[in-house]
Amino acid sequence: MKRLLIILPNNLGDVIMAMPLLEGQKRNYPDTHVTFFVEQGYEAGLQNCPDCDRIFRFDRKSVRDAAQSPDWRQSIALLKNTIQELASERFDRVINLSQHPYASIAAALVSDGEVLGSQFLREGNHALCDRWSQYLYAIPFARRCNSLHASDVYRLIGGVGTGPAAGRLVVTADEKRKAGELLATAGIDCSGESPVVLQPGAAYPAKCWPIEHFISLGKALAAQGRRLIITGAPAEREIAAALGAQIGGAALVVAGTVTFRETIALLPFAGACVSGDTAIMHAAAALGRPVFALFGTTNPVETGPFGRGFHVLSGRCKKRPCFCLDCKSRLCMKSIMPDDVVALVQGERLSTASCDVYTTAIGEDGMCFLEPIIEQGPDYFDRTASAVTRKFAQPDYQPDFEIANDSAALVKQDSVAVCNVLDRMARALSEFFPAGPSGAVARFENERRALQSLSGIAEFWAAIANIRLNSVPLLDPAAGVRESMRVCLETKEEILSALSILP
Amino acid sequence: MTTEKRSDDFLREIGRIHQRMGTIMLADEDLIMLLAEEISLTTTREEKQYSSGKDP
Repeated sequence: MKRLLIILPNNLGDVIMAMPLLEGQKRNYPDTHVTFFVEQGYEAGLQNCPDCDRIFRFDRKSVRDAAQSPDWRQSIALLKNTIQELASERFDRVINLSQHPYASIAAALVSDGEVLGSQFLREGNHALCDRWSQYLYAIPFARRCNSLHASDVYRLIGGVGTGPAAGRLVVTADEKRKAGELLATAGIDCSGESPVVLQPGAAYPAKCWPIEHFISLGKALAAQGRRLIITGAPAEREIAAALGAQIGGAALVVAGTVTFRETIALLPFAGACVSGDTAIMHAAAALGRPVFALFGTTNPVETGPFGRGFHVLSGRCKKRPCFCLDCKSRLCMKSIMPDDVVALVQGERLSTASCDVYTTAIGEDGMCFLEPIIEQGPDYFDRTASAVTRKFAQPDYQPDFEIANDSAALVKQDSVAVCNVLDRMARALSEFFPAGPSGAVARFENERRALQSLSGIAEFWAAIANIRLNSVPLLDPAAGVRESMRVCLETKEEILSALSILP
Repeated sequence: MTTEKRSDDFLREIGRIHQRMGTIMLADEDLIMLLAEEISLTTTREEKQYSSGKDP
């Protein structure tokens, strides 16, 4: 039996987004024993999942607190125990989906075979050797250059194929019974029109839909006879209570009074879930409930509800997705109007809307994507750059849409600019031989700085080049220089090859 | 601004490993120290003090 370790320490939603990888793994390789490394408190989605043989709960906070204390050696003892326990499993393969450096070091320490994703090399650098992991790491540097959902990228990293199958988030019969009792006690009868879950909070304020919009939505739905369940974490109790008070008797506030698992158990009773980019949204999608996801600064292409037929509403903003954590205007969220959400929840078809509205769909290639539901609605963003980056990661890819000449020209221009820089970097390194350093590395680093000032798709290519160059071990300087030259020239050739799909 | 909570001898040990990085192959013991260092720099969600729905 093969043994696989998946490392993704947090967060709740990210772990749920990794569940399609687990499902694919078990479907393709049923004999593989799968262990999931997750931090304590973030494992809720994995509980009772038939695709996960072992949940390894890591107590990061205890290690962190010990490392910050005068008794820091206690943290070393804790880590040695953790590593010893994991290493004894002799994993044939480790898939590290986390971007945190600590996960990279842990991956190196516990692997007994192949590592996909970031791993720390004993030479002293972090390395990313597989192409889809390099792609995943480059996404944050150029968000508009990726058209793939995180769950699909995770599956591509794991090599388990894509397709409509979602992760198997399981609510047990006992959990469901208790949730049913909670609703019955609150007088919510689920035999008629199902209640609507409202999730007003999110990880940070810019992800939240304005509370006054939630109040309008809740009041409108209550006026139409719908009951509301207001969910949230303990930190969101205050805002949930305020929302509940404004809506009145139709609302049941469970935020902070039930656990995340108990909240998940309420979802099968829900006729709809209205939420920002949150773990509850991911859980509702994984359970196949109707989801109405409200997106502002974050990217629904990447982390929207995964699967088929979910709704995504996104404010029109040229900067989207900006990932601004403390945006003061929050125009993107404010421009999603409650009337549109009410209409969609009540099953109406929209011919116009205050914002862009999409449904999630699964393409012929098995990948999840956003489809505008309003006739002639715009794509979330221009897809030309993302088609080229996908061609880079998946050489047999051919786009299923027509690429406009002006978009193609811009992508080509930005890409060729990077290729020219990579060429100059390789030439600078070639001067290292045969005489030795004599400024060659300094000239290389000088040329490399030019990668920082580029924009558009060039930011994606620069990220790929830097990820690859940072992965080169440098213990043997001559071998490192030779490998860096190869990386520059190979990356350039791969970029040029990816441009072949452009008109 | 964060206040340094870690002890001087912990930071000294870490500093020694950082000096060796790129010059020799690191051992498991070194990697575990670096792992502790990385974890010592992390925060919990509660410590980030996000206040949902309100500006920070």
